[in-house]
Amino acid sequence: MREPAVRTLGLNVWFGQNQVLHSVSITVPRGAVYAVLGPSGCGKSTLLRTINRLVLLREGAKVEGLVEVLGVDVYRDHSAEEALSRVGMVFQTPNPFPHLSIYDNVAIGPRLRGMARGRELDKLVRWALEKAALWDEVKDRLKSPASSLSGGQQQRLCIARALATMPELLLMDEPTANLDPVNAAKIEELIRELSREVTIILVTHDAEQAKRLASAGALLFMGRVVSEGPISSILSRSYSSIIQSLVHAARTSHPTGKPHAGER
Amino acid sequence: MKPRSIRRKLADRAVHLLTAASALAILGVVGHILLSAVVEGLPALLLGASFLLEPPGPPGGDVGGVGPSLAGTLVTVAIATLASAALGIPAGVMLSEERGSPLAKAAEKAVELIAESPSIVVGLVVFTLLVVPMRRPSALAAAVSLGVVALPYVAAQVRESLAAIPLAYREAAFSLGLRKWEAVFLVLLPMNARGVATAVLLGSMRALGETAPVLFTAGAAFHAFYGIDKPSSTLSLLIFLFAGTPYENWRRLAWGAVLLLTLLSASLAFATRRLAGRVRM
Repeated sequence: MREPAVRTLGLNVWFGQNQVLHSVSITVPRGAVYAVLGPSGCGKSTLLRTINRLVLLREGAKVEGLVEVLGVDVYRDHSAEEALSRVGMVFQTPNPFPHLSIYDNVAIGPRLRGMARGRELDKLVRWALEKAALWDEVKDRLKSPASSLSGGQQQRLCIARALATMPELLLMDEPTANLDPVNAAKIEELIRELSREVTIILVTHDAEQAKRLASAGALLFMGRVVSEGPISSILSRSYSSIIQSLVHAARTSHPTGKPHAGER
Repeated sequence: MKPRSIRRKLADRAVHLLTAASALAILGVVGHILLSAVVEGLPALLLGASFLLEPPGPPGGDVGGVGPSLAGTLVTVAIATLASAALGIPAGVMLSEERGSPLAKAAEKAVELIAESPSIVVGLVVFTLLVVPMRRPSALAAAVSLGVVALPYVAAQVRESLAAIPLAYREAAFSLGLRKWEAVFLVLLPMNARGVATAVLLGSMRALGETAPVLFTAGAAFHAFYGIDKPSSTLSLLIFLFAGTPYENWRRLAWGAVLLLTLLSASLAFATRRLAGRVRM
């Protein structure tokens, strides 16, 4: 049996004196869209950043416990950097590099890692932009600054940037949270497409979105995993009151009363 | 109107007048310096090419020029800028990216120590380490002393420009699957290239204006530029030594050098401000 894409065991994370994650144990199967659900401030984003070690960029961060990514303990093994080079990430707020063009934003990862050059790189950039459903919109202005794109386009550019490094695991931190319903729907469609080839961990506080996209997941509350398993079981069985409040929060935050992807 | 209200209004007026007077006093001092430099230095500068290329005239004779000292200044400042950038940029990166580590803390203290040391001490140290073994002052020794003086400014500015990069871009850079130093040097530093260029320009401004470090290290070769490893001179050294002489033509030359140095500094300052203003984050 193949090892899971991600496995954490007894994971504790602190920022200074403040413990953010408490003994978190999850298993993310390969090939799944795995949702990490929970209300704001429950530690979802911290869990995601602990998986690819970005958490260590924060002042006073301390990690304890096992974090296995693609079969490698990323806090102890020497091959951690190689394993993490197969992990991509998309953030809540689109963050294309402001000093680079649309093309260079996608090309920077493979170029600096020596994955492709010249025409090969051109092909890879086009492939990533097509995968991110952005190619048709930007093919005539690849040299324009990334900042000239709209918010939704910038987020798809960031997805293309992550895809261009050919990740086996894609971490997505509320990728639709800052988008309007139309762009959020486009990103959701993209996640469905990508899930055929890449394992995706999707952080969301929108239970409806998790239901639409994920096959499995974990529910976090105040830094603790309160439920893990198939998404339908998480959303229907125990801790229904927490789920109800999540669904309610998503519905009431939308002017039409209908929840959409990630709007707060 | 109540007496308390009148008192507050008077106090407000007094503070306003005091701050305005302070600002005017500073403007007056700067204006006086600039006006003196222009009035006293313009006649020499108007000599044109002969002022910029020729050596000084004999005592009490023709004004001549500052050619060798200008060449010495350009060469020493260029070498000092390169040296301070070569050491200061990696030092600034380490101070920013390894902050909190014992090595970074020690480096921070060392940078502070150099910045706070009187620059004449730096000159004396370089005299002991370079001039004595080489048995002569040189443009190289002057450049090294100026580079050491400029170093803390470059390191501090690079550290600040890296620290100013928002966490979102930092996370994006580190999520590309690069090693830490690749992400810093190949993504974050180029992202703030203007900040780095500003740091280097600030260092060169500092090197351009310093006199004390070159007193012991440059020599006093005002009549020709003999080469990097030979005695040399700089504009600031020429001003220091010629302005106090009893010879009218040398004092005019010194004022001309003051105006030239002011124009060079102002150009660098202008370039620095333009670059700093364009730093996008």
